[in-house]
Amino acid sequence: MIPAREEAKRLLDLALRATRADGCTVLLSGHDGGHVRFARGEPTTAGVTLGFRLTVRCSFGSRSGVFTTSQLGPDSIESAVRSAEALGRFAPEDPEFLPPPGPQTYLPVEGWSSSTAECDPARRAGLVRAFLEGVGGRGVAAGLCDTAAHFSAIASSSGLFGWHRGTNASLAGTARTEDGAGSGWAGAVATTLEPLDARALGSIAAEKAAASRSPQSLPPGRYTVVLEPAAVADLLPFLPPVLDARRTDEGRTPFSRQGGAGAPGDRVMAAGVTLRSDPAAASAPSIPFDAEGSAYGKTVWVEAGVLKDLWTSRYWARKTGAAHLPAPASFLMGGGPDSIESMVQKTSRGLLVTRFWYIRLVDPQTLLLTGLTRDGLFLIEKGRITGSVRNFRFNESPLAVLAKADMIGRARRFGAGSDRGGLVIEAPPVRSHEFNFTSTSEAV
Amino acid sequence: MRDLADVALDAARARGASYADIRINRHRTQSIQAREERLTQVQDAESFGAGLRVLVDGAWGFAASSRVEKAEVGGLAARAVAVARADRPLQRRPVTLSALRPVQDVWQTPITKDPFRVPIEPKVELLLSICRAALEVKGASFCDASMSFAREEKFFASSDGTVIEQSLVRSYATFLVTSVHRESGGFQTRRSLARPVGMGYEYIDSYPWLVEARSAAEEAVLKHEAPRVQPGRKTLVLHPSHLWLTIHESIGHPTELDRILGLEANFAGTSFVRLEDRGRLRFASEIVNIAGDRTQEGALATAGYDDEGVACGRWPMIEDGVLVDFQTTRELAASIGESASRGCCHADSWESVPFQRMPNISMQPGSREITVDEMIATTEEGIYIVGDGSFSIDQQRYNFQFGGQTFWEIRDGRITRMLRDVAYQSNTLDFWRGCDLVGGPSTYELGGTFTDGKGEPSQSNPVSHGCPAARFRGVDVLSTSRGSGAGK
Repeated sequence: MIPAREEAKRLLDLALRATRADGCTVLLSGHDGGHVRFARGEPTTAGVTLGFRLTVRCSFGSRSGVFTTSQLGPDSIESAVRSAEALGRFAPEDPEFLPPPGPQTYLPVEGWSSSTAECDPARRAGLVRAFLEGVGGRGVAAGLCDTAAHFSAIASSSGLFGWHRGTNASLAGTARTEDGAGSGWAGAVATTLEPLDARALGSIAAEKAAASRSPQSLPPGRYTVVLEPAAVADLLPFLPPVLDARRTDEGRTPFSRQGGAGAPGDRVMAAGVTLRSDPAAASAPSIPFDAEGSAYGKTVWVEAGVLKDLWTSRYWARKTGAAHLPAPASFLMGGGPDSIESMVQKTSRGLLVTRFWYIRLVDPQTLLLTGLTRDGLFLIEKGRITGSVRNFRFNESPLAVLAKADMIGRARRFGAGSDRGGLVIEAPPVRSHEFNFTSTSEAV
Repeated sequence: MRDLADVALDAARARGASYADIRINRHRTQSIQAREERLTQVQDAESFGAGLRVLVDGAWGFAASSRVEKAEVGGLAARAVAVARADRPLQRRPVTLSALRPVQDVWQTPITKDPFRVPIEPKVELLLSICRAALEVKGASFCDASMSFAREEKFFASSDGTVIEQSLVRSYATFLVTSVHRESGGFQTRRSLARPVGMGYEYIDSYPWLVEARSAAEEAVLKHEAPRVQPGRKTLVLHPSHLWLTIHESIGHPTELDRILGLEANFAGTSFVRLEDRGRLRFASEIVNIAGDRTQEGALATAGYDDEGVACGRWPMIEDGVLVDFQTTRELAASIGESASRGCCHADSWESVPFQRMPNISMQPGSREITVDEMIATTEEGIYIVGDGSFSIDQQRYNFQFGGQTFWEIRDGRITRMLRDVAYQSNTLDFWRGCDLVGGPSTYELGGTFTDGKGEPSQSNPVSHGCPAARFRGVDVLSTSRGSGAGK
């Protein structure tokens, strides 16, 4: 079980009282959760995990060191403090050092579900059973059901204290036809278990698998695309790293102008595109403070296609006179009025993309990415889906995709997994144009 | 440790487990990062905990906790067994394990200089020296340098009577030089060719950091003036600092038996390789030989035993171009009727469920001593690629695309100039069947990564790939500058 707020504060205070450093920030986080992994229509691994991380940052003047431990006993906490102090004493002076921020006001975040925090193995198994039943005899299912309670608490010698807890429940799975010729995917993530319709997800995956059999091979080239929310969610995590004021000023992001100045105020995407962060978003809650304890506010990065802000570290803000704006923990693309069905109906020729796979940065100057379509790629002709298409590799930039977006639908939440840079994501379906597919793949 | 393990294993048996194993691990890491003239991070971390795996009536259960004390470890058994019992009704094929003779042993990475005993100061000074050396080159704008070290103290005990203690050490340092061309608004980078290793600080001491920092900076600056590649079908000469990653993605992953059997279908994917391809599939030209090897000196996946107590070994996977074997665990081996596992079971932490992970998979050098210069001298037209760059491959491991760090035009047997914006796309079997020249032992190098991702919940494991330089015919090269309408 994760500790209560008061217990977390007591542990943080133990560390703060133990230190002899000039400045100290202590971050405590942990999780209590479980999962069932399944494949070939049955569980393959399953488990429950309880773990903690206590990170102590100690500074002497502008020298600082950090030590992290999984152990929360009084002796372990004191030992962690001594280790951080030892590293700090030996570290060189840091010309960019700033002391810990003072007390902050954090946005209230509602992201807790007791039923999810207390979810037992039988309930997770029940969700998996429902997914398998949703697939039925139409395919072979594989996937993951994961539930967890997590928390983060932070305190510093400058009087700062923050506390956050949340829960997550996710279920995602792939159905492959028995002959291996078709594959479909469906998934959902939420704060609570209750809205997860496992049977419906299984059914969607199976339908996509059946529909994706016997794909035709189309020539590589530029196509109009209708990207389902999962495909958009696969592209969005590449944007926050380049919305960095310092790197932009240094001339090394796509937003760097000739001569090296940032470009807030420039139109960088289509008029329908809004990108923001909000820890208190009811549909996609996230942690309200960063690793230094700085408060996350409600931030608009791109509004109606215009670049509004870049995240700015405390040091860079002081150096340039800009406002401090921490790097985001959530990245939410605003929704629009269009449904996937209406996007298809209004497309004379294009491709419907379920999701992408193995996306990697090719050229940081243009944010050019490469990756592949997966688990359902369909041809749209004269407003109708007319068949499945062999998977494509693409070489394309999400900046170009969002610059050419002309239809946007309702946004959905996606998890903060390692493949999404730890970001809580909300992504809508998007129609865009001239999406650059460069070769075909035999993969199913 | 032994007492704690006995408590957990006895409790698991008492609750009905037919098999149980426990891993009590202490994972120590150190990360030091610098940019230009300043240190940006000095961080040590230690993660300690226990993970218990049980097999109950043919279903797996697992429970882990960072509270390593008798009461908690005993409680792990109840939780792990509850997980197994909850899933058992969904289990269609009861899990069985290949046979394993119990062993008691101790093993450690052979190192001569423990990186955790080297003080911080010389590490910091080296990183700042790398940055200074790079930034002395005219046109170099930024330099990020870092080093990281890991030591895993792993205790393993199973209900079969196996007890193993291991200490594994890994080291890595790298840097990235960036050159910003303010007039054009463009920027170019060149990353170090150094790769992580299963060695101690002696590796850091032996690498020519300052020499490479200067040459990397010069090459980053040179890229601004380099002509863009003309796309087309070309001959590639691949340096081992590049080829290791192509081996990893196109040979390492498709020969994982869990993927072949469909166990990774939702995440990492399946494989174009089928079970019946063993001994039959012409994977590569007949000059290509590949081995799985968890005993390779200095390699990241080298250990005495895997995470279910199987002794690590070496075995052929591609012989004279033909696929001859897979990567297995005890469960996977039993599922295809094999009598023994290849020892490829691994978990990235005490809190992760062990499953099939990649061993070191290395390509053997040719018996004849052929140097890179000789390979280039016998190539009329092509590109010589050094260092790994962007990488992507589909979920069945057919279609891949790789970039690199530097690209050099070959004409009439000579390097003529640097090229830029190069990537190549191919199909795994077409590519490997097009290998027509394998470098000799003098070209052999070890590449690898600390962070190969796989599984759900996602795990990250270290793995190495040794290889010689090699030449490949008829590969599709594209210009990444033509790939998109994006940009400024």
